[in-house]
Amino acid sequence: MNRAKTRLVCLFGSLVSSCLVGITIFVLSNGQVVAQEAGAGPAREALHPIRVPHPGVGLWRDARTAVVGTTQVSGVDAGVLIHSGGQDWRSFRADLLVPKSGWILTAVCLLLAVYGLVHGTIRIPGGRTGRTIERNSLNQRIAHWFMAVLFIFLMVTGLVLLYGRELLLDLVGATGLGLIASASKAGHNLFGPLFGFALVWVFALYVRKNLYQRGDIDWLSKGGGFFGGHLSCGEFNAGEKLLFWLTMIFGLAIVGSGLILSFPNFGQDRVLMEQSHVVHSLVAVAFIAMIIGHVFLATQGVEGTFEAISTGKVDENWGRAHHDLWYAEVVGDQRAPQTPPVDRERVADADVSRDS
Amino acid sequence: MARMKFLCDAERCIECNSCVTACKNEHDIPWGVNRRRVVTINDGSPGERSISVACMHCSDAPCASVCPVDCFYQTEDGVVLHDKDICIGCGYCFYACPFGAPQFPNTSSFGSRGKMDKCTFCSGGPEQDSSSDEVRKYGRNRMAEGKLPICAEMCATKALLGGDGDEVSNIYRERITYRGSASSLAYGWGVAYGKKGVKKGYSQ
Repeated sequence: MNRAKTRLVCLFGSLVSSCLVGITIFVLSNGQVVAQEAGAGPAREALHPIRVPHPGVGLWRDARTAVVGTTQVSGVDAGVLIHSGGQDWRSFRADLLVPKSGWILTAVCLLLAVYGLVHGTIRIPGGRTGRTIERNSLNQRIAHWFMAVLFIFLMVTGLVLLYGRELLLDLVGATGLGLIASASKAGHNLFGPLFGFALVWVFALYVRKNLYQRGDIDWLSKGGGFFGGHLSCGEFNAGEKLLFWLTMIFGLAIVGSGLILSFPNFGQDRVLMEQSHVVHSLVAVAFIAMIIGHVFLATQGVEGTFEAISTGKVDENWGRAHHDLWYAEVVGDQRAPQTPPVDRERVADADVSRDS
Repeated sequence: MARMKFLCDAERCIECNSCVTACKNEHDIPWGVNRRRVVTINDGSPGERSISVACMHCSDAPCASVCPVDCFYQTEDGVVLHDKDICIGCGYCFYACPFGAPQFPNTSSFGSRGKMDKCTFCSGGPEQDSSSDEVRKYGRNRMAEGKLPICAEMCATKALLGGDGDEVSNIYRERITYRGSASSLAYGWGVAYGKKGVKKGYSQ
């Protein structure tokens, strides 16, 4: 099926982003060594032979390589005379993060737009029956939308901080950008920890439905049926399970690094802050790309999917077509005779839906 | 036009912290914010050196380049200043600065950062020179009065030099010439403390 190919695009984007994380950490950790070696040593002497080096060459080399001195001023990193790592971080942000992430996100949007226009929406085979079955309880829907709204807000405010100078400065002027960015930073820092709570809530409600089941690997290897043919799956297919687990992993990384960044009063040094920023921004780009794909699939990609999370109910034919094992379970359940007699008190206490 | 620079002669700095105190006093800087600090390397060992460091007013300032709201600007004298009304207190300039010059007051619970504050080369800020707004936000504007930064003026041993970059480097070059190299020091640590005072590569 076509949605699987889009999912593969998202997966590929996430893998690329993970590789970028690895490469960047590698570069950052080695950057300093490279910079030092370029400054002194045989390569330099070959071009400009220095017979009498500056008498203070040892002092200033030590000062540059983070020999931590003492100081009467109290503050984080106050004893560090020269922090060379800041240049590596700034170069990462200005030369890698801002330009490349812009292209990645634009490319994801364009690819999905092209796919959507060319291929169109996958219709429900056999049309709608008009009968519905419940897919997401009220509790689950509230948790999802709580997280979704927070995500959108954090995404917008985060992107303002990332791209504001490039995109907005000429539009709104310096004072205007200062206001918008100041509000974005305050909002981002305030609602970021709340997103962590939303993640925990969604995890609790959905984790048991997203555990590995036989057939998941098969589903993935066949691209979810993208290349033709029909695949069976349960309540959530392997692509949706991947979305769930990547959300949790990305979410953990982003909330963890975000907490380090937005509470700087616990003695974090600059190196830790820079590393947290690198993790936070790379994961954010991967996360946004993945969610763009998710939103597309869940709205335009497959007909009849969005109502699962808005009303909580889906058409029976949709269930039959996309989640046949789950459909059989639910429908079978509803048609089975009631044995033993139902305990009225217990039913009244429990949540109405079988699924929650 | 002169390009203003600082230079701290590590051979002369005696870690008296006069520069730190003068700066703090002149600009009424709040607790916790340290525009200037003296860092001592190898404290207590032969070859101990102290250096006074604040904003170095870089020609290609990394703080200015990384700021997400572009609140930095450079005066005609090459002094790097910023606009506190636009600053959002994100802290990126502090990460990027090799010298740790940007400082942040602690404004609320959970350590949320206030507006960035740093050495202004005693040049104030974007407000009108020597206006009460400028003094309140950025401290005293000595450059507008034709004076040099108070830290350099206060330095007991004239270790900290501040002013036109060409003149500062001329003074420093004369000093090095007079002192001689590691093997033939005319004065300084090596003369006072013998061989032990001269750690290899540390004599200037």
